[in-house]
Amino acid sequence: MKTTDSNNVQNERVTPPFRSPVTPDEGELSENELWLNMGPQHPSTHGVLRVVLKMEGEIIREARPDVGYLHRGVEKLAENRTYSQFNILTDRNDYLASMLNNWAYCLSVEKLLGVRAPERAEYLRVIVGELNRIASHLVFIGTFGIDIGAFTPFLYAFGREREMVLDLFERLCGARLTYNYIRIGGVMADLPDGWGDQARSFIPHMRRCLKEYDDLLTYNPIFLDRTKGIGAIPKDKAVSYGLSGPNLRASGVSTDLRKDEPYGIYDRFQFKPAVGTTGDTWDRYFVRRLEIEESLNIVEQALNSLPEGDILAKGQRPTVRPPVGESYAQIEGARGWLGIYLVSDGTERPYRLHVRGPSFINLTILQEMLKGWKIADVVAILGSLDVVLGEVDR
Amino acid sequence: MSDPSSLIQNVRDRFPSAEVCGALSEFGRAEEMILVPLNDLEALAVFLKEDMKLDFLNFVTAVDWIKNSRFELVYLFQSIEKPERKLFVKVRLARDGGDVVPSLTALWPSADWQEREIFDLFGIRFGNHPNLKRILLWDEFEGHPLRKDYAHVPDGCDSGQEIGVPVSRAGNPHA
Repeated sequence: MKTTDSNNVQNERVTPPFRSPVTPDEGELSENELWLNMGPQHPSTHGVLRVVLKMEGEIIREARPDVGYLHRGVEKLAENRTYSQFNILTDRNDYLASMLNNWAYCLSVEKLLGVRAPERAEYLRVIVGELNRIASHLVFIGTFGIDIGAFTPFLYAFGREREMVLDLFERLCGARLTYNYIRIGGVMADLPDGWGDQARSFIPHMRRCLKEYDDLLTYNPIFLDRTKGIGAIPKDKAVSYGLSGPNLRASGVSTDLRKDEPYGIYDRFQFKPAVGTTGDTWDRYFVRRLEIEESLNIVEQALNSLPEGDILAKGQRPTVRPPVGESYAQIEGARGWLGIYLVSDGTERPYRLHVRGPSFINLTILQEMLKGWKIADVVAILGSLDVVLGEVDR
Repeated sequence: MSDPSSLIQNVRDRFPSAEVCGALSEFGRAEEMILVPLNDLEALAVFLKEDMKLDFLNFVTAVDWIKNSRFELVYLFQSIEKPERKLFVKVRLARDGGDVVPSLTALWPSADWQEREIFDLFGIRFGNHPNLKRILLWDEFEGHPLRKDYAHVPDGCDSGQEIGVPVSRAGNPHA
């Protein structure tokens, strides 16, 4: 039996504490239109992205993405941490490609310090960076298949091949997701015994599996129907919207920072950036599938030419105090150009740190490109942009 | 044209008010940045996009120089075909909030969300922006966290101590 008191509590109107900047208004609708809320808890948004859609029947007339659900204030946190402490937080930005986050950050600090990582460390960075890119694209292939309705590739790409990469990383640094392996001035640890052979045996296995994915997904007629010609981004639009990485290359721009503005030792490897033609949803998928092959080639070359030597710059200490100045380092991340802009005031903490998160900038185009497509295509288009909300919201 | 100094020279010929202001550390060489007055920013952006073919707005961000009581905006313009052709541009504005920065959204839609982010976290206003609202934080949020004098109001979710920023007791219902 309920008491009067508890009834009172239940009847009390509770105003929602937070109002989102995209909150829709009934008055903005014409006849035959309605607002449809998608997310933030929705399996296809790969995290917590909310999109408010103005629908006319099945057709999308307007889309308002709402981001920020994962905002942790990373840039503010950086100002209150030492340079080495912040390395750990970079893992959490794009948590599917943590190695590449570590790399961009360390490169930026190294530019401030004027320290170069030793030769062996540079090779190790390339090996783990490319393996992480493969792991990240495997998540994409698996989850993108699920978005479209193909369940099996997920079990292979996410549950089998990606696990092999994660096992490699676990042996190398103890962590499976947030590695903190690449350090300022080098890397954390040298390869354990037999690691190179284990990585080498992964390469032919992965190449065989790509053929399997082609049979299961890439040329599957249902998959082609759902993705071919959907959500095409013309070249000029892709550039003006700041797309980078696989999303940009799918639209026919071949720019790849590893090739066109090489950092580290990328100028020593033979590989061909994957390029699409029309920039549709299938192209964005296929560019990533091709990139896995290229990354395997790079890993193979790097393993074969891995030199002996130090893994950390001589005299490098955990506490660094860069001189007053600024630096910007950008690398070809798994999702696009990943940049770190740093301002140092000569203390052991950054004065300002800005993360150029490719997911955040790639997602800007969503509000424009969803217009005119059907509700069923939203999932395909959003999935093909391959954003990680941890990096969007930072 | 591929020589970055000639890019800076071209800009300075066209905009005499532009000056070289420091350089970014780049192993062994320096990447020079230029500073332009706020009034020239929009014309410079058009010049870089149309004439200099820097067709890619890489990023926009801001820095709070509280001791000099000014904000500095940092833009990186880049060529997508030749990424080594790039130019870092800075503009300065007063910290008291009187200055409005011209929005580059009409030239590069990629500026849309980045300018909203700067507005959200620094409180810098952009003129002619189609949708200048907070993006990462919610509408009712008070203050702009990336300002150096930001004081966190504990909101029942956290005390503010964890992130190491000064805590404001004023207006705190949980104090």
